[in-house]
Amino acid sequence: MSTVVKKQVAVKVDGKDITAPEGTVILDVAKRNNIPVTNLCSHRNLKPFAACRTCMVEVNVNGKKELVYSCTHPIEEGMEIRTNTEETNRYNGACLEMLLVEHPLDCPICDKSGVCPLQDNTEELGIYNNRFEINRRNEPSIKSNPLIEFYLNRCIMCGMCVRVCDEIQGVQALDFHNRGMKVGIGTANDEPLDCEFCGQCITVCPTGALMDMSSEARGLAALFTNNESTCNYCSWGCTVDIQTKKGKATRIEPIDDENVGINNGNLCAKGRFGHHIIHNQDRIQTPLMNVGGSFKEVTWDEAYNAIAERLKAAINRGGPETVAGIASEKSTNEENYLFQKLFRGVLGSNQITNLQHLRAPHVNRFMLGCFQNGMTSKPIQELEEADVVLIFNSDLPSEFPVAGNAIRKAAINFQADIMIANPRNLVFDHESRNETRLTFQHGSDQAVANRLAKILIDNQLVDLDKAKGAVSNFDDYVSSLENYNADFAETATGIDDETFTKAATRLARNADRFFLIGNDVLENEDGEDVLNALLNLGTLLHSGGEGSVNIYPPREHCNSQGVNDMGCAPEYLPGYKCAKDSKALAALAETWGIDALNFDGQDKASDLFENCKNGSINFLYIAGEDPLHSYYKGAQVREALKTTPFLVVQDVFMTQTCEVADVVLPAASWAEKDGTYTNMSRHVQRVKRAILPEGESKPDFDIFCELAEALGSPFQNDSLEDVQREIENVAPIYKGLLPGEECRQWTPESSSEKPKFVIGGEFKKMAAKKEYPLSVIANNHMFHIGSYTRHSKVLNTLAPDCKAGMNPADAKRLEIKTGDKVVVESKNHKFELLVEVTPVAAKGTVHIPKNWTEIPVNMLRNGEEGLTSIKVSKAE
Amino acid sequence: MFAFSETSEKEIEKQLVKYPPERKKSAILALLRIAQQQNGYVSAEAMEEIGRRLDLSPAYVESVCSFYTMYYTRPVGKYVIMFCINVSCHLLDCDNLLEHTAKKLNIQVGETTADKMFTLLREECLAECSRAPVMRINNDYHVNLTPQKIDQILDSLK
Ligand code: SF4
Ligand code: SF4
Ligand code: SF4
Ligand code: FES
Repeated sequence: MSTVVKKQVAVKVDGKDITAPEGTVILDVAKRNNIPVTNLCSHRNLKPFAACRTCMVEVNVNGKKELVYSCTHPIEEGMEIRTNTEETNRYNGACLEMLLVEHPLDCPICDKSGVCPLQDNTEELGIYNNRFEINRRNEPSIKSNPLIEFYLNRCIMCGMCVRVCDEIQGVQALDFHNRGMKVGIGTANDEPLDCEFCGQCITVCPTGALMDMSSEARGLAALFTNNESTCNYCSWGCTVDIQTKKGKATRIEPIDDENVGINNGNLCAKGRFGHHIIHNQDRIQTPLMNVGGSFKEVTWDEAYNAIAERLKAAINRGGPETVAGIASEKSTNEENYLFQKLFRGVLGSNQITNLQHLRAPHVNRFMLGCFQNGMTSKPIQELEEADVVLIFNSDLPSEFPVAGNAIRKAAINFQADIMIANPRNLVFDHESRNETRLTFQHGSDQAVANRLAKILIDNQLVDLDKAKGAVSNFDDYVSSLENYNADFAETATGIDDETFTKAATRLARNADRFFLIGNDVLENEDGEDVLNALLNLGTLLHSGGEGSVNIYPPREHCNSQGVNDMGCAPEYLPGYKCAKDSKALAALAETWGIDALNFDGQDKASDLFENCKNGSINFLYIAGEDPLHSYYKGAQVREALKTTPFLVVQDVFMTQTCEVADVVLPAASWAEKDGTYTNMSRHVQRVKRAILPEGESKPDFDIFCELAEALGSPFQNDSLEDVQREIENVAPIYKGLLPGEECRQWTPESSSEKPKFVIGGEFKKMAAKKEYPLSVIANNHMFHIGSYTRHSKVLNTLAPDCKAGMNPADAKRLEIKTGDKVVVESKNHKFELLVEVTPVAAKGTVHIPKNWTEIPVNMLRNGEEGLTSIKVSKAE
Repeated sequence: MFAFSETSEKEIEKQLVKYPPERKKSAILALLRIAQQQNGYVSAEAMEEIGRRLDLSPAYVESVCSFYTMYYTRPVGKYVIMFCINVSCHLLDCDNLLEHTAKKLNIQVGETTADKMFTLLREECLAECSRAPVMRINNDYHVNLTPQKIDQILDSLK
């Protein structure tokens, strides 16, 4: 809820007393109270427009009757509203009749048929005979882009696609052409659509004029089976509807309802169109065993037996702590829970982790620190009502596209402050007049956050006494910031102090502030210091300012949060209980029906790949990750996996990591299993099986259960419901949240520790080396995340090539143009790729998406932390 | 490629100062006019350039440009004939007059003569009902039209 307080206004609709905030239009009041009013051009996410003229209602104020359009007319105190009167129906019906003059009646072959507002309204108003001469358009369908078909004969000119693209997506790819009878929808100069392909326009279109071509199976929407699930890509966690027909997943749509999930009916290109990873020829079909360097198909039993045998042998030889597991940021909570149970409970090893935690254990510490300091953060849906949004080193349009949709609403409704702190000059269009760009030099994140805090203190923008009273080491914090004066900050970050002061002042106002932190902050060695600086900044505002501070840890994949919640980290048992706490261990042992959980205190998982390299791990089980491609130190992983005596890899696709495994297990895709994911704002949400597993693949859940059985210690609870009860029991933060149907956020247990600033590392300016003068910024491409999406035909068509983004100044110096092929070279590795010269790229940096396996960005870095320094030259 | 000329740039500058920077999109009609003055019509490239200046997408610029019939999105002849076809003119037989004109120029309505002299367009309401039927050629009005009068006018322009 924004801190802007709106007055409540009382009205009567069809005799019913209703109150709603001032400024709400009549139609929205009616919709929210389930009072049907016909309408075709209004959407809760869009500004009032009044194109269709089918939403007339009668209003009576002070005894005076008026007929008004409900989608643009705001409520007034004491207003009496009547809907569906003989008169309004007559007017609304006449307008609809005119729309139907042109509309083809091809319902039997229309994608929207059955869920079509035009059909519904026609029925509602009983238009069975049209009095006008029918004059149907008959233009050919436009299929000039790979994904969205324009069959504009069905268009009723409501303008919803135009408006959603502009207001909610910030793209403005579509607009009206001409006017009068000739008016139509189109792209500039009728060029093929080239946009963010969010598909929002398809969602809001009240007719079948815009259609999803991603699937060959098309036709009547009413014939599809709907399966409400959660997107398996980024950690934003959008609710999706996997629509199936004859046992095949054919398309994905959002659920256009503000009360479902966190995404308010929005999706991004990956979530909507990236469903071809489900039915895919590259899927692993059967278990595989590496025999003398080539893979042989084996039965599940053979695979389980081999794994069980090798596990036992490894434990006999070196003890349980020589077997280790990497859990998946893309598996469900239940699966990850069972995975750590398998390791801790069955094998007796605490050597379990996940790739985010391995790389950046400070993310969990940061999250727990926020809780300790009282910042438990509101449900992310309220981002739409934010007063201030700080987008900190996140390439938001690529990283969390749907967050952008919510922020644009806050911009329209509250003129929210939008602060973009990033080394790159990101494109983020919105309608707020309050934007601050904190464009900082690559690697100076920490100085940005600390300078802001210093200004808050020096200019007394927050109540310092209050902050001091609330946080014990306030004085230490103040002195730790001593260095961050204007000159120092400007030299370090490149941002002038006027900009900093403006940002600090806006941050300090009485506001609901949302900090969205991008995974890019983890890129450099000072990731922990950056997170601490942000934690401290948040704490300062929280303890000394008015309003709220909502701050979310950076999480990348759909269940990067949940995998940690479930205790797939050496320090934490499920629910972040300390893995060294004997009471917690005893309780867990009791639940699991085993004598005791005794770990010998060794910690190999925290530096897992190094320990694989030096031979202290005999058995490694990677369940659903591809570290060879995705872990930031590619060379280290390569050696680690080579050295590890036995490697089991379980995945949906034959990844690079699978290629070097001893046993490969085919996992079912997310559409083929049940469970829950927890998103970056801790909303626990349902994952629903829509189809049967492909080939012989199995859900990770079943694999872990069957493996426990093969090891002779079957889990007592092996049904989803029972495991969910067990999770709620051992991790009380999950109590009442499973099976995740309600999409609720878990609340941390109240902390007994006092709020504290985390005072850490000094800021060190990271400089590129002379020979390698440029630094790499590597993150996910707008149309890709991880490497699965590269198996999606349509996402590949949208983004076929990996392109290095270079700043025009650097490109000019190196005589490089867009489309050139260049060699990117670090001390350790080099590869060739195409270049795109763009002002979005920061000077001195090269932006390389990390999703192309053939462009292994992670191989550029070896050992060294800090900036990845490279040089770039034109390829021969 | 489209580029504004020096004269156009000067005029754009004059237009832009009229609006607060965050509302510069209000200058869109002026910029479209300047582009048309310079090149005789507003090309897709010109729309793109205007979009760049005003932070608007080319699709948005085109929607505004194509809404108004007096912006031309294709090259036009030296003389643009806008023929009013609204009620008053219609009652006074503009349909036949328009056809007469088209025949005389040997083109269809909407086309430009091969010698690039004339473009013939329909126009909704030229706000001159009292002297209907009316056509406008570039900035001049020609009123109380008859076939003979049209012939004379066109001949005088050749
Ligand atoms: S897919 Fe999204 S960006 Fe593209 S035209 Fe539709 S709304 Fe606009
Ligand atoms: S294409 Fe659909 S959303 Fe767009 S104007 Fe036409 S009917 Fe409305
Ligand atoms: S924003 Fe993330 S969760 Fe939402 S649809 Fe896109 S990839 Fe999926
Ligand atoms: S919904 Fe009100 S005019 Fe279309």
